[in-house]
Amino acid sequence: MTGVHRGLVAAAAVLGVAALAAGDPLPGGGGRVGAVVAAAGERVPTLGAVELARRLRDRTPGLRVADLRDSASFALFRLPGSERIDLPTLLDEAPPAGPETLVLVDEGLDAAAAWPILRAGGRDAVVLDGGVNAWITQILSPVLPAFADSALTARFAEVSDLSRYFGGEPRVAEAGEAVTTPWALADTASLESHVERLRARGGCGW
Amino acid sequence: MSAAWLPAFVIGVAFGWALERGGMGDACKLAGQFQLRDLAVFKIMFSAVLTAMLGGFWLARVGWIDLNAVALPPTAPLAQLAGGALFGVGFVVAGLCPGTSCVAAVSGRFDGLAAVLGMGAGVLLFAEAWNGLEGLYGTDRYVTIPEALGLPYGLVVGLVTGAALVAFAAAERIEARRGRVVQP
Repeated sequence: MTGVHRGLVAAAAVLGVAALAAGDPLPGGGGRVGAVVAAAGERVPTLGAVELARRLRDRTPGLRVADLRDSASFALFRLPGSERIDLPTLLDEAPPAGPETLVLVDEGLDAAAAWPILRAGGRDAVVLDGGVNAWITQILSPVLPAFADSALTARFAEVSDLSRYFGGEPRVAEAGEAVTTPWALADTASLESHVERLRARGGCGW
Repeated sequence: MSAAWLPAFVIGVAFGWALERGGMGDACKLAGQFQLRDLAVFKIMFSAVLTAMLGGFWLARVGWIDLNAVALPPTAPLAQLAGGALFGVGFVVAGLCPGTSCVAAVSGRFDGLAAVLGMGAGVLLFAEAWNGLEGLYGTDRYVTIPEALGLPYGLVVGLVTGAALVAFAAAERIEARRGRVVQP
């Protein structure tokens, strides 16, 4: 064992022994870590795009849409009434006094990682299921399969109303057009091309 | 696009460099772990655990980092036992683990490349078999050692540190007895 090794062993021993008397590593006590850990064990709750559209249209009190994507993505496309906010800023915020439903919009894992921390801090947060792409496919460009049954057609009527409210363009798929899931786009075009198409069509919000 | 990849890339390169310089790209050296003649892997990995634990604890204690922001993997004992056993078998057969196989491959060793390809195939097989394996993951809860044992955080840190130092001393003795040349 060299002198360096002995030094490292001694440092580890000192830090390990000192930890016995150092107390909890967080000023708030272990309860905060425990709360985060407990919350992290639960499934992250999600909110579907259609339900979000319904709440936005109905101006549900306390609804707040926080977009965690970077500024370039936010500038390219944003949800109605949403605000862009950095994750550290959001986590540092104090909970509001009144009722709040915080809808997190993200393309990565930030929203899922933030949820247990927000939950531990007493915030009521949900993640937009499918993110911005879900909003575009389900609200702005919903497609009803050509041979949909009556139940699906009835549901599509409500989605169509929501879609038109937000400037979307609901349509019925052409015969033979592949629509794998309700309201899904029939092609695999990228977010950018959809935004361009919607923007070229004009209307509110563009 | 997030710039989070940059520190991850730098840390990854530094990790790979340190492994290579420590001789961890050599399957023969790693195989010595299982023959109890060279316990370098054990000492390196346990040192990494100790460094991360003491670093995380003390940096949080002095307020430089927020442990709330540290991601925790879910605790799934059954899946982790099964995965650990499979990992061990693969480690013995290949003489390499995931990190060291990448280091070996980048160093130009064909056994490392074979291990990396096998690892990729394993990932694909796991993904294909996921529907049948999902039940192993149970409730997906996250549990820390202090929580599970009901002990103060600092006490667990002290106990793990003590156990590590005893284990390091034992490893040195075993190596000396099994004939490895131990640096004076």
